[in-house]
Amino acid sequence: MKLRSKRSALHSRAEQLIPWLVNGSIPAEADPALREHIAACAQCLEDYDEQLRVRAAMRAEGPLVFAAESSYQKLLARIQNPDAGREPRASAAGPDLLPVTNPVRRAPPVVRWLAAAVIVQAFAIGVGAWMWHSSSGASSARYVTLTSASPSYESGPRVRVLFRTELSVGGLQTLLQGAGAHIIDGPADGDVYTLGFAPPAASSAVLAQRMAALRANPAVLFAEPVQNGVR
Amino acid sequence: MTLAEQDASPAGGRSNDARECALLVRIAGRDSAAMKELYLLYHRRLARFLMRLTTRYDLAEEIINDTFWVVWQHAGDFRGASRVSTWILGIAYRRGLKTLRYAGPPPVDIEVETEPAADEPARQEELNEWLDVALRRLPLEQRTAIELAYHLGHSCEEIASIMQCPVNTVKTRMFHARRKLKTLLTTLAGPD
Ligand SMILES: [Zn+2]
Repeated sequence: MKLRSKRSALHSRAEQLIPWLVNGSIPAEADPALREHIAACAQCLEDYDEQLRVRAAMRAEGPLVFAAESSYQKLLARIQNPDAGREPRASAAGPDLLPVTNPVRRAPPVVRWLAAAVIVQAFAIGVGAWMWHSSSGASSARYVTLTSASPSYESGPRVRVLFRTELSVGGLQTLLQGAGAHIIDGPADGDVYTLGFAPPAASSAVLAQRMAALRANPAVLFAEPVQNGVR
Repeated sequence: MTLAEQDASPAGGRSNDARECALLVRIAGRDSAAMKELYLLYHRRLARFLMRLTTRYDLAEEIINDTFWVVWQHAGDFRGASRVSTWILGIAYRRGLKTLRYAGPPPVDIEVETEPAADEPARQEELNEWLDVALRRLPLEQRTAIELAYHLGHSCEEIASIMQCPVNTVKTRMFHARRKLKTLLTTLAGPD
């Protein structure tokens, strides 16, 4: 009796979870009891196999070819000239514009962002494929981006910084631009990042000015210069 | 097929997300090269998703460009509360619904003639054919949920975030979608 109720509980759980096992969002090693049940239950196994086939069919390439490049050119025209000949439809998007927040998963701190950016940056230095460039002229005097690492940062002065967790990507971008700084390394030792400075930061007066700008920013919890040769 | 044989892998994955995060950072800095890269990365999957969502081939491009217009304007607001793909799909979903409301129903409801299938087990190619027809007959929310789960590989929680509904609602939608698909596929493909 007890065995049977345990089996039926597993069965109804399997009925609910099969799609998420099939699409891999529940990892293969998770929930061995459930997997054992599915393997042993004819009905669940049939359902599972059928869902695998449906998934494969839904992922199959269709005959349609999408003209991504020409679609992008239309978007680019809109970006470069937002007011030209278009009704303000996007501005009516309202709540669309807010980032989606997941009610289940807690928002990870910004360090995940930074970690991501640094991973890509390391990749960029390796293959040189991610060099930043701007297609706009006059307005793009100088941006500092996470992926535009220049060798001049490698030898210049460095500073260790801890950011507030609420810092957004836009906030980070502004902060780095304002301080003429660039992420070189991190996170290490409790999410501390190493920043380098865009030239010219060689003179101690310029460096002090940039340190002061960093420290004055409310999103910076601490900033300290790195001694020569020490990271 | 054993349970271990499948190649299940959620769409994106953490390494892709890292790359896309970095692109968003550059987009927030008005880097149009990064914008193009992200756009091309998403164009195909968004086009397919939106065609399934709206069943309107003529609307997909407009919705994709509206979606990326929002991405361009608001990349700097993204705080990493979800994967980048979840954020972008959420925008596309809501833009899609909005556009559908303006556009009204499709001009012609495409009905595909269906022949009774031969008395043999349904092969994968047949399933591929019937599936498009069957999916069109699902209610929009169920069609969207199954598309996000099976075509794009999103988790139950991510779909809840994209569709802005409780996780249990996603589970229910998937449950009904599977059940209806099974019935529709059986009807379309004929008895076997
Ligand atoms: Zn079972």
